Amino acid sequence: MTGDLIFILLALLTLVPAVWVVMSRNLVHAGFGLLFTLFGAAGLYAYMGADFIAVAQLMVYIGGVLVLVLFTVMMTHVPRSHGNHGYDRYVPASVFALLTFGVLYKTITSVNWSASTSPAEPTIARIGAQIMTDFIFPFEYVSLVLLAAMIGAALLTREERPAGPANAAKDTEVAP
Amino acid sequence: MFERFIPVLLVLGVAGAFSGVFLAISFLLGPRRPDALKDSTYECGIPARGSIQIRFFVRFFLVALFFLLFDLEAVFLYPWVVLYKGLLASGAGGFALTEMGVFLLVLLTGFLYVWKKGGLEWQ
Amino acid sequence: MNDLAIPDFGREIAALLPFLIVAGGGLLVMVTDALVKTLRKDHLSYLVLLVLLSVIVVQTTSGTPEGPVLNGLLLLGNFSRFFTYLFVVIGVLTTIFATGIFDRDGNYRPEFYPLLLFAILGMMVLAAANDLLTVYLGLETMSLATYVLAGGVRGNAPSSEAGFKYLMLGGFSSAFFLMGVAFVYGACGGTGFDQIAAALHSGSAPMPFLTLGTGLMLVGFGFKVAMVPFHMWTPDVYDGAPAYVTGFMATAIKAAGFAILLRFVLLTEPMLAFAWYPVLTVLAVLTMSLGNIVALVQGNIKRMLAWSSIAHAGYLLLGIVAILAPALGGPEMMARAKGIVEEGGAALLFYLVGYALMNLAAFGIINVMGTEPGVDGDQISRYAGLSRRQPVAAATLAVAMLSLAGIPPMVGFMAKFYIFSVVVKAGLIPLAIIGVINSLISVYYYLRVIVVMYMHDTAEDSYQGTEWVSVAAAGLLAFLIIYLGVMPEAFHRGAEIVFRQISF
Repeated sequence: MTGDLIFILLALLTLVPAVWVVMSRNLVHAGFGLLFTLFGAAGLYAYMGADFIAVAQLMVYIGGVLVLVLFTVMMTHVPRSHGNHGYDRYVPASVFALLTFGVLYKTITSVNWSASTSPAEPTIARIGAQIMTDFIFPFEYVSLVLLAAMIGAALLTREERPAGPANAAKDTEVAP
Repeated sequence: MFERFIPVLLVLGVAGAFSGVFLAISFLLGPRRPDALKDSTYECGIPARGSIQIRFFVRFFLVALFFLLFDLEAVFLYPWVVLYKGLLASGAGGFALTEMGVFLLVLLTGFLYVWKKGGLEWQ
Repeated sequence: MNDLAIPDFGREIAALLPFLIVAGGGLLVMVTDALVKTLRKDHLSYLVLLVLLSVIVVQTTSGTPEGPVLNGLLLLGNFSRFFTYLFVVIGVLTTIFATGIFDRDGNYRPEFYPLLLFAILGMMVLAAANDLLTVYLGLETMSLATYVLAGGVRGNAPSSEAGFKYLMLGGFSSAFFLMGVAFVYGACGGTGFDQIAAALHSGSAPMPFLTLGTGLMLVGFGFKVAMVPFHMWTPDVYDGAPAYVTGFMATAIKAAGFAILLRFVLLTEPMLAFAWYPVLTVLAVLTMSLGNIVALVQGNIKRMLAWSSIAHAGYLLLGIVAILAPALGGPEMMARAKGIVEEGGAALLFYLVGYALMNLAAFGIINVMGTEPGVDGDQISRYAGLSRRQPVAAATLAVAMLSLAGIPPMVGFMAKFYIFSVVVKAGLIPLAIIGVINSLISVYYYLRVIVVMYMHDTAEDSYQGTEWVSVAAAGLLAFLIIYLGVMPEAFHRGAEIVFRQISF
């Protein structure tokens, strides 16, 4: 019973801010709504016994991705939108979302799930053992995927210095 | 399973309660005599000028991006660290060290590349 | 927990040497680029060519073990070897085209070289994948590297737009794919192809899960191969990316996408033909027709080739449909099934190689035609009179266009011939007729380029571009197009042998 209560609380923590993210007119508010949603999702992972995923969710999504999202909002300088433009998109979006939900719900309830009776144990050691033996190739390979991403990021840092007549003209203006 | 997270919940609860209680106390007990000067926005004693919605320098984003990449790398260290002591005892420490060494070496190459390309400089 | 069975990879290290060389080569190029300041930038291209050539040497000389390696995560054999050769050759040509244009414009993109190697590595992993986990990793390496390749030209707005669009839509398609993997994993209890096959044959896997999962995965693959309705990114990305990258994307990514689609369809065929056969049939027809019809009105040769690449994805999907068809037919069909599957697979492999040759030749020429740095020669009208100014380049482009249109004796004709004959053998005569009508439509817009080059007079703004190494490389491709078109038999038989190993 307490288990159900915890689940309901975590689900609310995930869903209510998610609605906020979609409805908010202010992108920064939406970003902070995302914080709670991601946190709720981490709680749900922990609730299901996936402790490593929960920790990874906290570290990567809340620690990293969310910061990136907020910086993006601050960088792009989107003026706060006023008025009610955008509401016309809610109808098709809701229909699509409800349809997706319906399909997923039908599919998931079509299977006769049998709940696991054995007590769940910490997964982190098992994951460690797996990446050291069976999944050593994906583990090492992931470093190369990250490396490719890093080259892309390094490319963004290369500041373009516009060396043209416009710049030259500015230099001469400054010169005494 | 979830019982193992009760201490985490406790910490969260206590932290939330403390900050909430202190905010409430200062809100309820603190004297409040607002006037026009006190209500004005200022920073370090200087009146604010312009909008706060300025465009941030792109470097902030890049630092966050590099942080994210190395954060992901750190996540992969956790399961390895949990096992490492046991592996040392069973004589497989060399293998484990080599495996993680290769992983880290690849990412170190990336770090070197980003560094030499000037990705970490604040121009 | 302390007693881990530490795997013994001694035998497998040798088998994985081609992969290790490409990965290590990528790292080496990065380190060289970062540390050696005295190096001329184009020396990196020699390093890349050295790496790629050594892959070919290692692959041909060492008797690599066949079968699953790394606990069944990769499946090595003729199929993976075939695609390794294809990707490496495409990589070599792309390096030549890119370096040629860097040299001419004096505008180097040093990050191009390691990213190209990582993209090739991802494709090699994809073609050898034997587990959904490896499929995803291969897909992501390939995609991440290509996003940057397409969008990484500084100060070039169309390129940035292309990279951004590709990144956003690619991210969506990855999400769909992962969701599909999750459902398939839930249904089959494993991500390995062997486990999935076992679960499918035992009939223990819940069908709704499998149908939804495989459907979502098809969305992911469909995006990579530019299948309607997941094709929207193609014209903008092909147009915005520099021509040497577009050539790479149009050939290597399409080949990698179809390689994994082929494996996936063969894997899930016995159970899922019923669920997805009608959908794929409709999508194949739509893909062909839409691609060809929109290509008719393009005045920009890169956009025209983008729509044409959608159309060609449609022809290739016809081959996939033909492979799936026998699973639906009656007992008489089943008796012929194995033959059709094998011929269909061989036809697809042949088509992918032919398509790579003609598209690379075309993009090799488009790449050098631009008159100012950073702008490709993409306006068809400005090709006027090219045959008189640059006979070799014009002839090469003409051969590529004739081949794309499927006119004998080019390889494009034979490739289409093999595909359509398999479709007919599978009893899908209406589909074959639609395919032939589509190729007839396509003749119009391919020939228009030739007409402009050979029959229009040079105008003031006509392209003058030169870069002899690239033109020579593209000319060599044109020679291969004709050679394979005249003597396709040996190669086609080879493709059959390659394919036989993976057909279950």
